[in-house]
Amino acid sequence: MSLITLRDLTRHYPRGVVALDGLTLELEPGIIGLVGANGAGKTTLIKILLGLLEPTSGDASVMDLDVRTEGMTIRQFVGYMPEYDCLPPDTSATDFVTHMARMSGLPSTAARERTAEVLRHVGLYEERYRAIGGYSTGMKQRVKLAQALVHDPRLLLLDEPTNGLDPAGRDEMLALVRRTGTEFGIAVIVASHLLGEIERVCDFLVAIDAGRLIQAAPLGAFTERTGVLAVEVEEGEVALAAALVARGLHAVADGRTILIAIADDRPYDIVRDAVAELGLPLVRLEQRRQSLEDLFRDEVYAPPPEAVPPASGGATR
Amino acid sequence: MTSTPFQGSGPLSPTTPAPAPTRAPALEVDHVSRWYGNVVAVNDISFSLGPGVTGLLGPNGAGKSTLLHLMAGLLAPSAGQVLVEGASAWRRPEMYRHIGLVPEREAVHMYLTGLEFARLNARLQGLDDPEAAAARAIATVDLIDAADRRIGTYSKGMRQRAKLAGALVHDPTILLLDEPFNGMDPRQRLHMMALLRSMAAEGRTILFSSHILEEVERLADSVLVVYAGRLAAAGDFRSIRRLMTDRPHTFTVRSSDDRRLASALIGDAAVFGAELADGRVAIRTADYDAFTRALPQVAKTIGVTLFEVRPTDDSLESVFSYLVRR
Amino acid sequence: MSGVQAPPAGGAATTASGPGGSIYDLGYQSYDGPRLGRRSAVQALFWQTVRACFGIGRGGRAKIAPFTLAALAILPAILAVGFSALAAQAGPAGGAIENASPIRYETYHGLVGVLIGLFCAAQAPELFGRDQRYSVLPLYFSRVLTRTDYALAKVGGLMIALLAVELAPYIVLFVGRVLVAPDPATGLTDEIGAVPRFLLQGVLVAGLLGGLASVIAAWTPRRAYATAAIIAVLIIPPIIVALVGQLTNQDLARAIVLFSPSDILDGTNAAIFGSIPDSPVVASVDLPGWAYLAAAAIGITASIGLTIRRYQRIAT
Repeated sequence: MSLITLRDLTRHYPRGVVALDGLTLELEPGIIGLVGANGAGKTTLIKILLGLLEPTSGDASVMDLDVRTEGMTIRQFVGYMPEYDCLPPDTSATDFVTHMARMSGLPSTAARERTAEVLRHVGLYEERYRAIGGYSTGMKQRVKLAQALVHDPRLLLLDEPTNGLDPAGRDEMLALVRRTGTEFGIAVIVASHLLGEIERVCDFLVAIDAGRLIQAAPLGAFTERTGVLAVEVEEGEVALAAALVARGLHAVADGRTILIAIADDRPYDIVRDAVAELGLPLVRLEQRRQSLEDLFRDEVYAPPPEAVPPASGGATR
Repeated sequence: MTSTPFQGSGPLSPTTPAPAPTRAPALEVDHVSRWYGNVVAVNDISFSLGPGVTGLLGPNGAGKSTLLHLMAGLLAPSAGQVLVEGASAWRRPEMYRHIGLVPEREAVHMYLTGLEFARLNARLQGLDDPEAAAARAIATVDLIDAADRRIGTYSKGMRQRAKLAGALVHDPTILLLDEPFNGMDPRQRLHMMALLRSMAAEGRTILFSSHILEEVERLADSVLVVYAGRLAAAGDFRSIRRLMTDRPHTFTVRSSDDRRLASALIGDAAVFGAELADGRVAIRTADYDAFTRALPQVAKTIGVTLFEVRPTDDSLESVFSYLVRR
Repeated sequence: MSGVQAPPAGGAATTASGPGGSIYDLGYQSYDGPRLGRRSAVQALFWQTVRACFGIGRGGRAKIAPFTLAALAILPAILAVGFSALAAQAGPAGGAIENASPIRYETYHGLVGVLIGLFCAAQAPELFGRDQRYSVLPLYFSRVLTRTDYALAKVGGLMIALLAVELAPYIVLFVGRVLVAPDPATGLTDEIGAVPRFLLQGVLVAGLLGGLASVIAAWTPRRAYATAAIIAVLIIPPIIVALVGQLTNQDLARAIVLFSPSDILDGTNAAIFGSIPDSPVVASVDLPGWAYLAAAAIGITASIGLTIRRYQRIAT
């Protein structure tokens, strides 16, 4: 079963804003990262997937359900965690998430029980009975995640889940997202600006810019080895570089790091031996990999005109 | 634990006894505290900044925003003083000429265009030629195309750049930014980083706060770590790591025979833990220097090829989490 | 929309059992139970709205205003019944007292109409404003209700709550008078005529005031402004109508009286019970009863429509 299928999906807004431009994509269940330019494209895509916005042209289906005709069914099985603040301050997490569960069609007993379980899974304990207004950012993010999970969705749409979290909170949220995708068995789409997070959590990457698809591939495809071996020693790099060159390697110094062109496994032992014989402290030895950032660094075309679509509902029903 | 002043190069330096510099540091924070009733937001912090990029880190509520506002002269210290080019910053409007602050919260008027906002700031600064200054600032942050649209129509990243333009109109030597990369997409982020780096290369002093450690690691020459209103560490984070002598270093090694390697390494006095997991050996050592020398030698002796050696906790993330969990 | 099959679920169970004991799986469980769909969600929202009108589920302070107002609204009825009971014991002289009582079905609206208005002004803004102010609406719309469903559930909940507050006093009066009558059977036949009347008036009051409060609160998320606007809409037009009536001719007053909700309800009350309207202007303008009834009906439909429109167009 394909998780999401887009065929030439296009969405225009008034005044010539093109949010999505002929997106064609097929995604299998997994943990998928969605990266791209700010504003229009990402939000529009999420709304279309939730069946809340009609495409201008093209098709989209979620779990083999057409977004134009079966939006309501889709929404029973999709959980959405928005980027911005969306929690009322005067209710408790328990009351709020239970209510949201009912809004997703769960009967009242099931709503209560699932709320209690889901709040535990996201890590909210006694605080769940206090009013949300008094929560820290981290706790609020957890409530947002809980309301997205409470009705046991098959697909989770997380929009910048680590927004506003400090490094510790970010760690915990990312671990939670990873668990959700692996242990809970729920397909996850994480929209994020932070490539480091995507590298850490996701298996698959979708990159969109100016409404067009730039890349859609497993993460491994972006972090290929580059054929450059980096050796870092705490001291004596000059002597080491000389020794390596003497043994026939193509070695270049870059600060404290020495870069060696590598085509097979032979250089590893040569390096090891040279370092050992010189008695140098070996701090790092690894083959350089490309990073996701190179994707964005090398873009040659002009930055898209960044605009926010006009504020109108444009609802499908 | 560590209140040892950091000795080293980079834009940060300790303020405890050092020979009087021939030139005052660009910005100096001298035993500054700030409290609100019984709540101490900033607790006796001292450091000085010079040209280059410094990152300000800390958990939420640690006092970073307060510290930035104190440094910009927008708040009075409850104790201590903030010195800009050797003179106190409080209540001296001409000091604002040296400092530009880009605050975190939306501090722009939505109904102004980008250019108008920059011009407004230029006029508020009392510049001789506000038009030119505004145009220059807009060009620096690459907002020329959108300069005539209202800020309300900008995306988040563009708003950040508009704020930055407003802070740059008066060509400040010191730039303070509170979470400047918030909400920016990868390309905007790279652009902003390149911009800050180039400004630092011109000799400006730049301090920015962020939660995104990978970026701080990349952009900042050194860091200030603030925790619960106090300064937990200052300097180059690798050097900070070396100073944490009460914490074992961990390394991850991939080799042609992990088990034999682990077994041989355990025999070495520098190693007190070797764990096989996940296709790797994770090693714990109390003696960084001895271990890094021993590893290649041991591997050579037993004839095991080393494919990958990585210090696992040498990242800013690791240093930071250690500092704030004490 | 029940009985929809969910696509295959995930999550691994890790229960272990041996002869000596068992470990139970506390990991994430999938949900395989019924998913009741749109109707259940709308009903849940409807009842939650009704509860919120009385501050139930929101802590003690939230209950003060609604319960006080409801109590004040019902108080005259209770007093009237009490007096009737006393009067009945006093014999024939009691009958005279009874008839002189100012608290009757037809006068009740005049007595407590203001309280119902205040109830709306106090409760409606929170019902509609809170979800808008805190951007909760996208969370609703990403679930199994439509924007129209949301609007109707909210408006409906408010109207039903108002209906309860509005009808309770009448019912107390009715029951009291039946019980107090010398012979319950005749009492019943005497009083029964009033029932359809007060039901109709009650529905019109709940509908019109509820509808107006909904529109205003839905379009004005700021709580204080909405409350002020609701009160203003109830208090100011009658003043204007009265002034116009005094200063100019009756024709102008007649033209605008149907734009004043309070006067409309005054008019419907008079028409339904065949009594004299409270407002002198309404009395002098002398429009036929059905005009007020039609105005009320139009007002109710229009306000429901405008509320729905607000939620269909609101940006998320």
